Amino acid sequence: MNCREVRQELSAYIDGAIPEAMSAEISEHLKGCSECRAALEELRLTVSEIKSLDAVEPPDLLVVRVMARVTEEQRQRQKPEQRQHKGLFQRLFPQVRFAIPLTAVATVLVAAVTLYLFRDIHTQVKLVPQLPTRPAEERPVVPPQPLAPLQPKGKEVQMPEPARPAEPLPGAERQFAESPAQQFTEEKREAATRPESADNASANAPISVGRPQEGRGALPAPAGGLHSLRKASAGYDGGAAKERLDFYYSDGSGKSYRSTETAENERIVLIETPALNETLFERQKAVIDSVAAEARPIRMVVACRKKEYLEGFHTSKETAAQLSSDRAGFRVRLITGKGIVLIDSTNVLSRDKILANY
Amino acid sequence: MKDAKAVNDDDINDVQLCRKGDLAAFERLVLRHQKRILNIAFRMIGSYEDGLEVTQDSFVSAYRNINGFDGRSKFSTWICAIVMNAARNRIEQNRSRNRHEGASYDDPIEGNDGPIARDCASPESSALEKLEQKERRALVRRCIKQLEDDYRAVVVLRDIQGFSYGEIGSVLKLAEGTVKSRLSRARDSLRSCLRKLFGGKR
Repeated sequence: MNCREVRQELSAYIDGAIPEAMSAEISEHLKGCSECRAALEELRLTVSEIKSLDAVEPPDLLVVRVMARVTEEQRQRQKPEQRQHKGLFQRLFPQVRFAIPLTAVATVLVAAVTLYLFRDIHTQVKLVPQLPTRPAEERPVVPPQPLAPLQPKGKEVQMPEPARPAEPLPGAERQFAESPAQQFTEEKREAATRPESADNASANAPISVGRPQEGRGALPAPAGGLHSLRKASAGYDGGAAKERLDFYYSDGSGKSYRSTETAENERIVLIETPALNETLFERQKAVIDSVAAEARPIRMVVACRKKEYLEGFHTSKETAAQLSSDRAGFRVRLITGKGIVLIDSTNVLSRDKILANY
Repeated sequence: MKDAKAVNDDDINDVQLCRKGDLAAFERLVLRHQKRILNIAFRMIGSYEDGLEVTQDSFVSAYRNINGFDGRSKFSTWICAIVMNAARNRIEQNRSRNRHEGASYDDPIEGNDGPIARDCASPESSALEKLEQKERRALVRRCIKQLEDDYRAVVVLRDIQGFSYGEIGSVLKLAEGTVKSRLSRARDSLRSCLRKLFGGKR
């Protein structure tokens, strides 16, 4: 064997992946050839440098998120049956079916106007706590509307919620399931999964001009038209709220959880923690500190697995107030196996409340 | 890979349970393989965050297609093939995005310092050595990143994950001869990229 042939085989030679006869031949050659010996030495060093790279550890939450998505997929597979029931119901009461679009348009219009006025007022009075004015029931869920004032540049008129018309038909359910993720994910999915929304937005909500992809910044604002408005407004009663929260969980547990920026220049940070406790609190502070220099609103997403993990969670109202005074806006999203709890500077939940409800 | 045999037996059991809808069995599979899958994704893509996402997606896709796993290869090989494909797709996506945004070459790797730095450096090494070690690793990472995807794949599977040539062949669907020649060329290219390290030392 000449040097060129030997060099070609050196890689397999150090792996012991060549026939013995050839290996012996190479060893023989190496004895008499210092250049090939040097090449072998360098190759060995190269491989050992690569091997010396440390392995990274999977975070505890990796398996949680995978299982959340898989569980959700199983659940989704059972859905078509439910849809059939709905279809049957509507076939039995056809007039309901005709009534819906009218109601839908009316509702959207009313909601649009209300939100428009509401938002305009609230941008003047920054971060007014909403909690005390909430209905008596204490579901720890924030419907889309009250969060709107938190948006950093709220003065520019944005209408995320009513941007789409009614979707009273069974297919809407799926669409809704997809939409929340878009608030977190990047441009690519936005464009791909909402083909019709642009048209509808311009038709139904002329006030939404001036900002592309306006829905993404508003935290819970599901871009699902009437369907989601209903769910959102039903957020204070048990069943509907659960369903809605579940959607968030499944969607959010996927690609959406990462530190990223939205169109509103808002930073979203995922805080991964198997237990919501002091560690979480420290991480919150660390995150705030680390992005403080950027001077932009921060939204935090906190994922955990079981309600037991909420044990020891202690975000106090004072804490949130303090954080939000440092930043333009502060939001924490708690994700548990049962749903999502939203916490922001307008709705700070005590640990007891969370535990009681989830 | 140390306990490949035992792992394999457990895998077959759990895969069968999984097909019957046993989520706990799938969770066991995830727990057993997540580290390797994450590390493959991470080394292929060069970003810890992207690696995490791709790992999640790969497991979800494995769950969806568990009936498509025919048992002729090991489950570990099968899931590795899935993550390899997913990682390449992600690399492609990132590339086309970077073309639009004009991101800097070293951008994605920056986020990795945390997880990498955590368990390096033995307790007795001096600050200077630590720094040197950190720089060495950064250089190694950069060199691996510079490789073409096909070449990086064989290096990751062989030198980082310790797969045999045969296993690499079945993960990447390549003949063993191709694995051998690709690995040889990949290592050559790494060697010249890392040459200044060796020059400094000897």
